[in-house]
Amino acid sequence: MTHPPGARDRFEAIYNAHYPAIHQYAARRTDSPEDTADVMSETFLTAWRRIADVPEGEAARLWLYGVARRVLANQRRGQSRRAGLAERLKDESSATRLSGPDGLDHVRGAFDGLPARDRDVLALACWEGLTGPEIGKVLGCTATAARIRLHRARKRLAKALGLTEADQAITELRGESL
Amino acid sequence: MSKIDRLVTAIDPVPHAPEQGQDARELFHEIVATQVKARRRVRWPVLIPVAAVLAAAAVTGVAFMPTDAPSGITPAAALAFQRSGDDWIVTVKNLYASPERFASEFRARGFDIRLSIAPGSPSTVGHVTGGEVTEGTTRIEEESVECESPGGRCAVSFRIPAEFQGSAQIWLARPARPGERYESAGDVDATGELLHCVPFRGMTVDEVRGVLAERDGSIEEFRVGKRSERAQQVPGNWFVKDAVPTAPGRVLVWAQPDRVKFTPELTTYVEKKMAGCPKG
Repeated sequence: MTHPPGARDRFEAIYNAHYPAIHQYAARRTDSPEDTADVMSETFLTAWRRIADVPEGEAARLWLYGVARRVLANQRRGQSRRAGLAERLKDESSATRLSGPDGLDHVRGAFDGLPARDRDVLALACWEGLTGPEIGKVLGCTATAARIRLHRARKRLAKALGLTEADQAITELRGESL
Repeated sequence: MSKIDRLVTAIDPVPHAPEQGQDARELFHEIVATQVKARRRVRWPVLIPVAAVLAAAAVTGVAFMPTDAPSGITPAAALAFQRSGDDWIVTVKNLYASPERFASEFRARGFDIRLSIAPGSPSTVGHVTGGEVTEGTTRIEEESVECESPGGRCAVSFRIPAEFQGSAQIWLARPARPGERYESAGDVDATGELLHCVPFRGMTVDEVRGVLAERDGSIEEFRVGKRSERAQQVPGNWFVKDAVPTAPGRVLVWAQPDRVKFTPELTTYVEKKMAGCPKG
């Protein structure tokens, strides 16, 4: 079986439109340019193989995020088999914790300490800028489920940062002056 | 945007999208040169609703027979399924069974769920350490939350909605056997861990060595510097910044020549950790 005529053009359009966003998504979640490159090639190879399944328009980006997310999960699985998971995670988190003079290390620490699924939705909302329904599409769940997950994740992060609802205004000020 | 969102946005590790350069063009050409094979559609063969399976089983007279019921022919089941409302509570009976064994017992219930159980440090034993639900809209919840026994004798179980039709991968931690290394690790000062109730952050390396020795433990290795580089040894008067369990009786230690700076957050964190510990 080969792709019908026009598939290559369609793939090229999708590739050019979404390469930067998907690259950024992958780079945010990998430790090295090599790992990012692996995620990119596998994600777009999947899109090429399944070009008929890639939705039209902006939905294509969400579809690609979903694929990249699964590729990353497989990559991590492989890595955790090769290296001690604990050590790897620790190395990662201490590397990020030490990374900035911006005074936000406590936020990084609290974020890194959240369960993976909380980090997942928070990152999709705040880094990729997705809405609840869009997150639902990436995660393969309903918009409502995504909103609930996001709400819980925000609450857990606020708790990890020692914030109550009333404190949040103060933190905002602190966050901006840091 | 909420305050929390603003803070998360501020720690975006890659705030700017990359340029689409030569690498991107090369990758494009590599991909479109790839031979496309006919798609296989084998992942979701036929999922029979659990209710239908139970109905059929009732007719044949084996309904609700616990999977761990004594049987002369089949070996004891690795999983026990118990119905609770709209969910199944699945309890792992044999932490050392093979992933294939778990998969086949789940398959027998109509679930595409893979379970991997790997050695974890005492405070993670019995806990879900990772999970990936690839399809579907329902969640799998951990049930065995109160599981602090270092011997790992607690029941390991989780809750799966009966209508769960997706596929999932779940990682659980079990006690490590002699010689095994942890694949998941809790906080080194959590209950059951080597440095439980030890305010080790800020202690010197020698002090921490002393505490560990009392508990039949030792430092396996160090991580030093901004890039967390590996070091076999560091001077005993260096300061301990952090530590993580790596294997029974072994910890990995982050150390530095300078005193550890206690930020308000770190102080609060340590206070929380030490709450409930004997004073002195």
